[in-house]
Amino acid sequence: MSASVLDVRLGRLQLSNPVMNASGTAGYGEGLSDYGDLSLLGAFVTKGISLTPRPGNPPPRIVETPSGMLNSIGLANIGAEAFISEKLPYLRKAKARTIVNIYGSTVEDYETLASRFENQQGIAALEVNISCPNVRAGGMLFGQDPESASIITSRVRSAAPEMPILVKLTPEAPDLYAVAESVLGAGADAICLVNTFKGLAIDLKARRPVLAETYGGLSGPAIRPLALRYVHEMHRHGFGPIVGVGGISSWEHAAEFVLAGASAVQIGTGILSNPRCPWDIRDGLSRWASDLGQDIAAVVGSLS
Amino acid sequence: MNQRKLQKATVVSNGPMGSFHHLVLNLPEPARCHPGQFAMLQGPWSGVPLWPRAFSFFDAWASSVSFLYKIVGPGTQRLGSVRPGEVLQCNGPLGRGFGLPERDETPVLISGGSGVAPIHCLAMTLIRDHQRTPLVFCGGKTQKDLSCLAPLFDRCETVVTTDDGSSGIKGVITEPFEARVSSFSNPKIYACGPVPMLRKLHSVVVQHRLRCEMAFETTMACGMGFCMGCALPAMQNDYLYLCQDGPVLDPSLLDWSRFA
Repeated sequence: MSASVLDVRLGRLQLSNPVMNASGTAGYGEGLSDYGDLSLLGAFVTKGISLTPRPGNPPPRIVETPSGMLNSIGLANIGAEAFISEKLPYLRKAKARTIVNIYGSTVEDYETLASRFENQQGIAALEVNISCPNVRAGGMLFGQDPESASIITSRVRSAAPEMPILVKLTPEAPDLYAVAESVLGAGADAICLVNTFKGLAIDLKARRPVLAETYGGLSGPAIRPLALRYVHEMHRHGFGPIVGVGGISSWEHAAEFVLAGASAVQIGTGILSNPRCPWDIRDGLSRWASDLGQDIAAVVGSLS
Repeated sequence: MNQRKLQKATVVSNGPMGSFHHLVLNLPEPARCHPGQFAMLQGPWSGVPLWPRAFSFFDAWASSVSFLYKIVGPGTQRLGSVRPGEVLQCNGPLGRGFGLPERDETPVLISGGSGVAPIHCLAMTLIRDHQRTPLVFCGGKTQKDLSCLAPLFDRCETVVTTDDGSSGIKGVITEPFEARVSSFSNPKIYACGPVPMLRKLHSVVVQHRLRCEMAFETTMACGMGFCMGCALPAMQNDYLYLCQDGPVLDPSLLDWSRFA
């Protein structure tokens, strides 16, 4: 069977198959490679990288919820310089198709990060996380405001003109269509739908929130119908290419996202329970496409 | 990294052992499991509950591993009804285990409650695989918490305490430990138990300037170093990750003032 059956094109970015891990669920890659060959994934997405290292939030940072989990990790990461010197060499050696997730506190942070990564060998794309508080706008998330989202995207695009850019959208936006339209118009190659939903868990006995920082992002099977709906609606409105993410843990789930309009998928919470699942999903999608007698790209958005 | 694997393990037995349940699994591919390390276990229960659960090795030999657990929530509830012949997903060995004592060090082991599992594993490994004779202190609520230690009683000195006096000394295990601490000859202390016990023990080892390793536990989602959820407060406002830097840690690396 031709390997090109699973080929994916997301604007400037060409991938050998549609399956990636979601940012923040497989660190910087070396640990995930204990369970499978990173070069066989469509792409490997790094933990979110900031300009300077961040220790993250006080614990408790995670809590299991019905068919899901809340996380308030606090974007803990080693910072751009340590990533480049300590982690990127491994990813190059492993021949991973590496997508670096970046985020910042200010628009300038995003621009600086994009410049820093632009000429690094071994980086296939940047994934821009705009689900971060804009400290200059009273903590509202960049991704809640079409104008902020657009400015960040165009600054990243100017700083790295040839670099494929994925923008990961937060569902916590009053008008997600406007945000999607603005980032695609500002030069994004694809949009990732969706980041986590803000949620709360309470410790009844202690009479306080379980998480130290009160709220956390909800992910896992519970959000799959929500993520699927966003992918479907966005595709119907002509926005794309779309990377679908939210509660996928099997090839069937991934196939549903493809039918709904996703050209590629990311697996996040599913990896935490089963680190083999991205490879299992890739194999399952390959068999599905083969059974349909079609390339996966031809099936995108083909819900009757 | 290390030789951790995701395997389909077959249940050999899953029955009571004193106040615990004792689970024995057979692994298709044997892995070298060190005392203090752990595995993430999950069964075919369709993601309900979602996360696998972390269990320290109670023992590990040839292609078998065993665990002790109590039923405390939905994950252990599911585990409790698993029968011989059924298959569980086993991810391990994970984490950093106990370090072997030097030739001239006396291994002194101390556990409280469910901390008995990794301490039992360490004691058996030292005796069986390294011809060492540890001194073991174990505390429980009742005699039923300590019956899992029976194989040790003939092979090394074991001091036990129970809250109700049903076995050994009536009281908490830190008391006889502290009473004898000055008499230990070049000791290396290995501990696992509830946080209040570890906190008390830490003050004793600091006071007596003893080398010490402690096995901790906290909420885990992945156990592999991916999610960054299992943070424990470390010095300089930083964090240690229990599944990567631990579960066995030098207790002086923790920021005990921020440790709830």
